[in-house]
Amino acid sequence: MTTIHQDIAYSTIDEISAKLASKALSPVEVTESLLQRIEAINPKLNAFITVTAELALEEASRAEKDIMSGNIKGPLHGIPIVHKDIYYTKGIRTTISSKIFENHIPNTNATAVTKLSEAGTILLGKVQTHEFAAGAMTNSPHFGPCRNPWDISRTPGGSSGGSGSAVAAGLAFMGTGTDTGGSIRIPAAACGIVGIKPTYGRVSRNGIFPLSWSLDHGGPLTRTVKDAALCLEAMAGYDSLDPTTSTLPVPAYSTMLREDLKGVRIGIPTTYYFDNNSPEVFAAVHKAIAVMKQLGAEIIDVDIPLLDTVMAISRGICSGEVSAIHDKWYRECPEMYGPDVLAMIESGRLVTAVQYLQSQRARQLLQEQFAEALHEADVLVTPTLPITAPAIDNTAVGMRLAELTMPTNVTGLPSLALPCGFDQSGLPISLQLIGKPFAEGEVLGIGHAYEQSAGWHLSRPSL
Amino acid sequence: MTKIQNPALALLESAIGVPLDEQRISALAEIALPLQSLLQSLEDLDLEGIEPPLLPLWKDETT
Repeated sequence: MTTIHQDIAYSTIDEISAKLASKALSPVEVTESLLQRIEAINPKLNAFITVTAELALEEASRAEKDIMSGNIKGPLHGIPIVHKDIYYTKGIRTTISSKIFENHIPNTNATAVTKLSEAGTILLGKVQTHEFAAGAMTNSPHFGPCRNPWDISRTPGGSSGGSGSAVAAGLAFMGTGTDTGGSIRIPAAACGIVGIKPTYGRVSRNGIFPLSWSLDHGGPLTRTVKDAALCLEAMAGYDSLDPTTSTLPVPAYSTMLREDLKGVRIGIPTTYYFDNNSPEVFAAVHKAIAVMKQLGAEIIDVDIPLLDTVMAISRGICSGEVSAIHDKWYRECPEMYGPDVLAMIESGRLVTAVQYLQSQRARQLLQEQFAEALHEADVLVTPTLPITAPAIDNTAVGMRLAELTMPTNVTGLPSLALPCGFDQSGLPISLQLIGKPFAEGEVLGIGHAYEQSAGWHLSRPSL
Repeated sequence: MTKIQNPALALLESAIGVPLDEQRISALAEIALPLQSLLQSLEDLDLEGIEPPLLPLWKDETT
């Protein structure tokens, strides 16, 4: 791999965007460079299910003509990205990493796909997910396991593991993700990149294959907080095709990035989030909190007692919804599911309507307790994962990966995962910033100040 | 001759929606019982006066 390819591959979106606007680079050069890199590196990672090389070069050529004639759509114009293979792409196979949808070609785009396309992005391909996004490992039995660029014997996390792996390896500038129990933040954390799960209703779910209607969120995985801000701006907004989307205007998140944390009150939950961390995760996150204090933040303790029931609430909701979504296929072709997804569907069929509705009622109690904590603090800081990326075959720890991300799927609050160090094996450690409803700008702003001060985003895996 | 079915099995098959043999029931019990046990922790919560989240059935005069 030549140095110029490395330089392009690991540039940020705003750096590439500036070079495209000044005509120092062309979208065709950038796209060709990434396609060559995908060809060389993807066999090690198995991040891609479908590479759309021909389409990417057509789109790049179109973007080049537009930019040369001064018709620049914005900061994402000419930027190559990937979509998790759960986002419907018109005319392009969308498998959900499943046998059931192995040859499924949608006739419409997901709303987020359309929005990113209208912003001028170039589609390099569709990337892996855990089968039906129903797990945190990205080891579909139908397409083979996706691998972590920091150590290919490790999982990239999931379910948006293809996006995590591809973005961390410099195969794309952004990957879309979905997050039902942590599926944007878990791979972002395991792969040492940035992932934001916005507020429920901020990004349309239309055209994204559902895992659990009331817990699913769409959002981007990128290498920097600023890139996440740029991509979320493009993806977010009201959509008449998703009745749960908010009509609140989408702020210009990329203008809300901060250099320091003066006047910011950071809440540290006294229970749950720090109870079962590996010592290295615990130490790295506390070191990050100390950096935030040096940047001017005030650190306070906050109490959220109901967190001890969060797993029951989330499983009660998720199990019922997953099993309802899969009812038809489960009854018609159960043999086409992988064993872990089949087990999730089957056990969910025994969750009663009473248990489901009690879980939905209980989530409001948890929302109230988070709201109280966020009345005292501007954001909460926690680890994203209690451990670093496990080995691909260590499926027993799969559910542990969602322990610290799941609470904000239940509450719908915005949560940002970003790197805060490495363990002794060289695997990334991540912290999570949790904000008030629709306070993505504040969360991204605070995350940017920490990121730029700490500099962990500059580390690269050796491939 | 009509096979007489165990009512407990009939109830379980009706809830699951597919026929079950002994091996499948054992596998199901292994995953479903811990989930049921976890969900029992919700019984201690006071949910008086809380409705589940509901969406409006109509947005305007026609949709």
